[in-house]
Amino acid sequence: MLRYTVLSGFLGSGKTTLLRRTLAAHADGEVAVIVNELAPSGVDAHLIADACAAIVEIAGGCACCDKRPELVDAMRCLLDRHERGRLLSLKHVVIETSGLADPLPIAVAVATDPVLRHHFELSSVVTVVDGLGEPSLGDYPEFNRQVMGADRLLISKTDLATPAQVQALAGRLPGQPGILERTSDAWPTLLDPPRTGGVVRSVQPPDEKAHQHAAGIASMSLNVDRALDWTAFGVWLTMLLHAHGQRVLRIKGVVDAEGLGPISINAVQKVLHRPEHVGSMPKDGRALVVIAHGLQADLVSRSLLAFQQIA
Amino acid sequence: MCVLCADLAGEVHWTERSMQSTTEEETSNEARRRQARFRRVRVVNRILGVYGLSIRQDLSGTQFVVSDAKGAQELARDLDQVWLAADRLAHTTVDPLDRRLLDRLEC
Repeated sequence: MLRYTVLSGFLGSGKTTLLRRTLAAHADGEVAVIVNELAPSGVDAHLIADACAAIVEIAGGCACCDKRPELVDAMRCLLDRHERGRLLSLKHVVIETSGLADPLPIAVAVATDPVLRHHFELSSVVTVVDGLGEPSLGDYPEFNRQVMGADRLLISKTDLATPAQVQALAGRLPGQPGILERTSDAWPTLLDPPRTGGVVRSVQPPDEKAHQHAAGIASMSLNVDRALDWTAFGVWLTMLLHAHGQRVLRIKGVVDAEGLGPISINAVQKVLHRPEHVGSMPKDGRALVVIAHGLQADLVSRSLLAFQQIA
Repeated sequence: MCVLCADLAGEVHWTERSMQSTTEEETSNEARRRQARFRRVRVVNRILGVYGLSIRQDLSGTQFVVSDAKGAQELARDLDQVWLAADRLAHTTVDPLDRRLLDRLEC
């Protein structure tokens, strides 16, 4: 399976800079890039054209909505070139979204395409946040969705902001955002999948059970103090996504399945990526994070436990 | 495709995939799959019963049959299709957050 990363972030947040650093560290033809620009023509593709195995530019709209067919075509084109041997070393595709794009429909578009879903596996959704000042969560629903939908948040431009500014920004974001320091050699690479407990920690609010945002999106952490019956959990999760899939942005975390061990769960809206075994449970507990619009945390938690009781 | 019933073999749903280790999977894959499917039917029956519906496996053990009390039936290949069939037969959206359902399950 090839893997893909959705690189998101508001306008001017530093997505391309992070991408160039990642490509510089992987200059072996393993990474292809799809660049989505809201403008009819952009410069990002020129900046990275020489550093990656292949580049496809989708300009003049957002890949999360009106340019979604072009995104699917671009992914299929890269797959075709890989299978014909023209991109033989290809292992990873990075989709750099436009600054106003919602990253989750992009991940869903790939995961539900009848061809692509058999060849591509979501690595992670990474969102870059401008360290000099993020747009207000309530004022820009696009930014809100970029933050809430991310597996990993990274704060950029930290050399231009004061440490207090960066710390304050990190405190306003859910989870524990990573810090991108210009002088550091150890930048996180976009290609690392957050498949372990980091998935949970990256979005879990530090001291609240449900973290409510202005746009009505809540991140709730379902703490389960015992191993789950895998059959009942599957029944519950499929039914929840069936009834409320449109309101569920993400479900992610690691569950301790009785007799089977830790299994990672990663759902984007109605689409659930194939659950996988992981080595160990997260250090900070058995938490399943549900990011949804208009669902009550206590009711979701009660429902999960009720289904476990009938197993 | 099944030569007897012309059923097109589809993709294996994630709830049907064995999460056992590879070694265990090799030894008794089919038996485990049937056991898990039997347990799944038992759990789903507890839920659908609240809506006046029931579920059973078809004769081949590859599909589910969702029925209402009047005998109307629908075939479903996996749980996603089960819930869609249940919506149609119950004339409502079967909802895991339905307080009436949770009250019954917690009894």
